[in-house]
Amino acid sequence: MATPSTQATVKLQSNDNVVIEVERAIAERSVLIKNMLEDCGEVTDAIPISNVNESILRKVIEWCEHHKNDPVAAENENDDSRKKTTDIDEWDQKFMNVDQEMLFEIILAANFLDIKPLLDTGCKTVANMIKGKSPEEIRKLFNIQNDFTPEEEEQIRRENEWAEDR
Amino acid sequence: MPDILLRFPVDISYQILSNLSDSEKIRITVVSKAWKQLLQKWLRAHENAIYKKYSSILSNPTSEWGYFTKTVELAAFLRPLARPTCQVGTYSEELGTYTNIKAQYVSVGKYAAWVDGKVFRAGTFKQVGPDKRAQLLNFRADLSALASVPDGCFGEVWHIDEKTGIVLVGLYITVTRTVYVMQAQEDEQEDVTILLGYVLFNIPREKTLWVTNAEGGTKGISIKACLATDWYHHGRGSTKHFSGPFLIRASSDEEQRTSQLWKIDLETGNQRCIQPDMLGHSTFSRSQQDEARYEPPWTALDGPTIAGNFRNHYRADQFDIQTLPFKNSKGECDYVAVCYGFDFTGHILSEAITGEFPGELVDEKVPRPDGADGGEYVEKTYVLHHPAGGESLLSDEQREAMLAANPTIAPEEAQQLQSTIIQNGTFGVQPPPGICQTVAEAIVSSQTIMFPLRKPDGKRLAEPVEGSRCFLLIYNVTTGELVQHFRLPAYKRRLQNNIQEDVRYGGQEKVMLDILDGRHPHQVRYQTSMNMYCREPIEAPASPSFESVRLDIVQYSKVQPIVRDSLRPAELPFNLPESWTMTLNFNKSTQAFSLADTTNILYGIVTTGPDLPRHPLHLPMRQSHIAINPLFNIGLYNSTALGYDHNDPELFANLSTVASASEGEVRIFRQMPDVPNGCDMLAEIVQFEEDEERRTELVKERDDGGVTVWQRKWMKVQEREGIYLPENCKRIGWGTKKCGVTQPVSIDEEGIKFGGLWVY
Repeated sequence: MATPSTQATVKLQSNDNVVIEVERAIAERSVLIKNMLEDCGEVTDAIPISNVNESILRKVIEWCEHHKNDPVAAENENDDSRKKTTDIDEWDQKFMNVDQEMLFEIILAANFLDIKPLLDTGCKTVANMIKGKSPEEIRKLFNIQNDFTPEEEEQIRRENEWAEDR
Repeated sequence: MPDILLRFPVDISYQILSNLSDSEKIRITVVSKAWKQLLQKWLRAHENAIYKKYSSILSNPTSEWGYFTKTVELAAFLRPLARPTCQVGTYSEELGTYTNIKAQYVSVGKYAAWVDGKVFRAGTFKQVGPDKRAQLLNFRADLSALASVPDGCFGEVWHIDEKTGIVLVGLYITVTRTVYVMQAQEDEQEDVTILLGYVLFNIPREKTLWVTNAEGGTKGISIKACLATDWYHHGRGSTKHFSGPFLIRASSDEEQRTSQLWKIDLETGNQRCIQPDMLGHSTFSRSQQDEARYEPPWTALDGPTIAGNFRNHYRADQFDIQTLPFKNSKGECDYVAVCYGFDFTGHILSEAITGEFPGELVDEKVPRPDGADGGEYVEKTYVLHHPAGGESLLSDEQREAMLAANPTIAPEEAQQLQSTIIQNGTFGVQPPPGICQTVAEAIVSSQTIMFPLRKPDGKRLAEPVEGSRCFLLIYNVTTGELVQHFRLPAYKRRLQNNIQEDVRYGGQEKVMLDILDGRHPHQVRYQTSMNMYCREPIEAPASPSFESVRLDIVQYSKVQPIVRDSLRPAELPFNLPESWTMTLNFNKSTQAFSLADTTNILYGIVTTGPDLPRHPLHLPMRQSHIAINPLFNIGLYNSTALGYDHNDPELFANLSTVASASEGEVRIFRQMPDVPNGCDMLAEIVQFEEDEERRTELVKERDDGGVTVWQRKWMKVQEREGIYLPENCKRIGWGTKKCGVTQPVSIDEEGIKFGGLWVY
């Protein structure tokens, strides 16, 4: 096992080869990077973040900077506690107020970098986009083609009528 | 290009879906076929979690989408109840909203029925698969249309036959009478509920089969005709004592009421008396005594009298009935079990009734640590200290009312008693120096005045006892014969004078314990109802010649002022549950019954709240499950010690290293943060376990050189669970003015699990 490092910053390299230097404490919001640094000790080279491009990586770093003082969730924390609510704090709501493509990439990056709170926030954001909307509104929002025949749709609606106002 | 939800790796899609309710998941299946497939895939990956979540509805894990949607629909229909008393969440088509109703909801097999106000509702659960309920198809009709009864009547579902779907509904009306209340400024109005009759309804055919009056007459129900006769004894019959098709009724004889076993012919509505005097056995000779059967005609009661306390009266008898599942060669049930409870305070009875049950724990054996034990038992029944002296504490009206309430007191005796009060000023014990009750505190009431403690020869008892006794009676339903009876372990305490202690300490706990012990001069604990439950027959009885079944009996007691006055002590709104659970063995060859594994549990509840002092209503002997209303901050007191004195420094001298008394015995639960909007409380089932590390022993040397050891147990919450309507619906409850407990959700050897306590 490597000796603990005292380095203050680390370099992260996006998949479009842009190197971004960031405080180690901020980078360690990512469990992936944190584990890597703990395993490797002193890292002078840029760490390749192969699945994330520069714009998304900067966005993720922005989120980590804002949340750098948040308590780190325990490893075995019950997921249920996160699932109980889709409330998102104001800053995060603004942060996630991006186009769907970027939202998609942020969620994927959070998943890849193992940043659970960011992943949760992203998933809640998508869920909130669905909640309370009619099927037509959802289709319009996500540009989904309705591939049910009118008869099929009517039957499903009839079966699920009770759920419409819940 | 697929949309955002479908482009994610499946585990991220699932996480997004986890933020949606199950209803929302179902609702969005109509967005596209791909979304529908994703949700079905999600269900397959989560079928165990879904099963756990809906275990009261689903019988096993399933990935069948149709089952899932029906399950969620049913769960949505059966809302978690804000007030678990007799209430079911129902969907109002008119309003388009879900509401709680106050109705007794009865569900047997695939049938369910209830009466919501004046509307009768019944339904069949549509079967979606083996043993799976999914949808309740409703029928509803106004009672007035169903049974041709006048407006103002209401109903209660008594029985549903699992095979045929016929449902028996009891029909009632509530009338008001005026009651005189001692010390009150004005008379009070008391509601009396009268059983008017029955209607039998066939759920599958949605048809009324017959309507009868309370006696089985088929000429229709007339409130006027009912009120014109002696209806007051219907107070006994208005409580459901029915186990299809057998019914317990009070006789119509005004002079000497008896409790009778009847059978209702469900084909026609006709009623037949099987046993005209259920307590005719010599064991219950007490019930033949005049004062136990006495009842003035209702016309006399409909005026100045003491309201609501039927102690020493046949109304104090409590019953419930269950048909036993042991069948003869014709497939018929030959026997019914009847639980019978009565209060015997003030009576000296034979050992057959009051004697100890083998192995039973009798409270009176537990010495009080305050030294009262071993002291002389003296019948010091009057607390009254009259500082002014000389003034009459009993007005003529009060004395008359007292006599009306208990005709066994001779008028001259009552006068003599009062004279003694006036002459002495204090009775039994002088309050300690410096403590002087006010006139108001010396309010006129005495348990012994109201309920004189007598031997049959008319002399007063030297060692009166307070207690109740529960019997299990087995009747042959063909002959009506009482074939066997069993005394169940009893709660019993010796009456002791502790008036001095009351005055000295003035503590609520003392007062409450005195109420429970029957020593309090103002308030009494008395039985209010009994319920018996018959479980499924035991598959492997103790002997091949046996058939066995577990029986559970729950008895509720209530605390009530003996004399209502404007200065009554703090309201004590709780019912006190006490349970027995036992195995009833039936020897098929000898046709004899026997009991095994009898357990008796007495429960207690401690309440605290912003406006309430601590009220320990009893110290339970054993306790592991009880429902808590967290909003009301109801805690649990668990201890094997009975009546110890927290102010006794000697008693707690060796407890300095453990919890102090002040922080000790009450476990308080804080308000739950997720109480739904508009709800008084969030019902939940709380399961406790003992925190054994905190168990302490209290030791005190007795005067005789021995030591008495008590254990104090702390309970902690092991599990808590929100309440949904369970599959076997037992959400029946009944309330007092302020609050109450639901009917048990389950009963077993570990205790009762209640649906909840409620406040309104």
